[in-house]
Amino acid sequence: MQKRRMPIQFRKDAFLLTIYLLVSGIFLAFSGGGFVVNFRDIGFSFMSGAQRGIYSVSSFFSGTVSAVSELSDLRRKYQELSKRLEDYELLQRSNADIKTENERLKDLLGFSESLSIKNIPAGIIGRDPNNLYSGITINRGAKHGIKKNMPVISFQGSNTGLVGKIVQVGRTTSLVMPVYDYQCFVSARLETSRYDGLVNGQGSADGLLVMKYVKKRARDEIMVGDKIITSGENYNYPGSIPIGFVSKIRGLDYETSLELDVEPVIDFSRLENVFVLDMSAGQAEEN
Amino acid sequence: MGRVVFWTTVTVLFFSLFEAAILSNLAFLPVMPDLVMLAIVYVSFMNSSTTGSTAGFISGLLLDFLSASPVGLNAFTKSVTGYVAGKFAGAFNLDRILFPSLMGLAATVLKALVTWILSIFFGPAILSYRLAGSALWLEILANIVCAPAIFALLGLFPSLFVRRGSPE
Repeated sequence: MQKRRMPIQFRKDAFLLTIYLLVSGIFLAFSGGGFVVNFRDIGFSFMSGAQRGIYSVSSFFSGTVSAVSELSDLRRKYQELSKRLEDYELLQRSNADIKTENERLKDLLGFSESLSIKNIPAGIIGRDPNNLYSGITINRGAKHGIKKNMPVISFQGSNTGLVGKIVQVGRTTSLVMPVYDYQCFVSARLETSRYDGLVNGQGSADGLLVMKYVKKRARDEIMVGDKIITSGENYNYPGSIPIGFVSKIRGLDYETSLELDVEPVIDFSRLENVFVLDMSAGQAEEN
Repeated sequence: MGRVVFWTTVTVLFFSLFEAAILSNLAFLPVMPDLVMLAIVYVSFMNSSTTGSTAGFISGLLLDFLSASPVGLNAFTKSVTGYVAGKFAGAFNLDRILFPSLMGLAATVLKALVTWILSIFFGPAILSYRLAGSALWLEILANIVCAPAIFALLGLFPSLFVRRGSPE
């Protein structure tokens, strides 16, 4: 009896695996097609909605924990300070914090208003759980007017820089492919010498970008530290948005073009807010 | 099997959201441990390859929706991982540290291998690990370190993750 059941069990699990692999393979093969994209949109909306929920809950708890610890800290300080009447120190610190926060928000608001292109400010709520991919989830989606392929920029310190582009749109969240992703290619230009090339990521948020296909005759005109900007070709990205600075120039004798290592303008490890650019408004006016 | 797959899916959903919303934002972590894969390995080893591949497929599909990877990539790799881990169900006694770590190591290598094979068939949309890059080795290390903890955590709930009559 036992001998007769074993092969059937084996066939069952192998059969199931075959079905799963077949379905996964079909998804993979058609992942660029309409059917799967729609299916993916539904799944992305659901999962990123849950992700947003988790983020809110974790923010709430971390906020509550911070608030509780802050409260006990304040109580302790109040008792000390009420005795010594030195509470102005705490007030000064709070004022400084509020002032710094206020200045940061003012900068962001000012930057948002200074952009000539219609933009949608968004916050980052999550990053890709797969180590090989680098998607960034933001808290704005189709409901807020975001569409696939919209460029994303950010403002850090006094620098504006390219972050990437929208690759997936859910109802209230979207997925951004950053410029440092292996699969991200941006048509770029050296700001001073005006030579064109293609900037590609290397998969790491802390790593360098690479600018390829720069004419070899440009060798003498390019210097380390030169700024690289978007070329604005094909309307994928608006022109003249800073991407990074040349950190190394490489050119082999047998190659017809140069490769430049590029230090990104944006520090992706401390990126919190981004602006999604709606270029369709400008294009509609031009047409 | 349904109960185990259901609870595995719930757990994996939690792990994947935890990875995407919290772990990924910790700047000091160069790579993230694959908690979902470790959970699949545990469930598969404690049950069977049928349960493992089913849980792996569903969990992988959920993970696909959170990632910029092509839909089906995680479903494929997790199905294979679940199936292979399930083939070893009950083959040896699971201790606290050594075997979970070894299984974490083996599963990560298997994932890298399957991803590489898929990248041959499906082209550049599928990114594979580079032997010379640090990502693979750091992820192996992270999974080796995290595997005992995940196994111990899931081992606290045998009624949820182990099917009655399974080779425990």
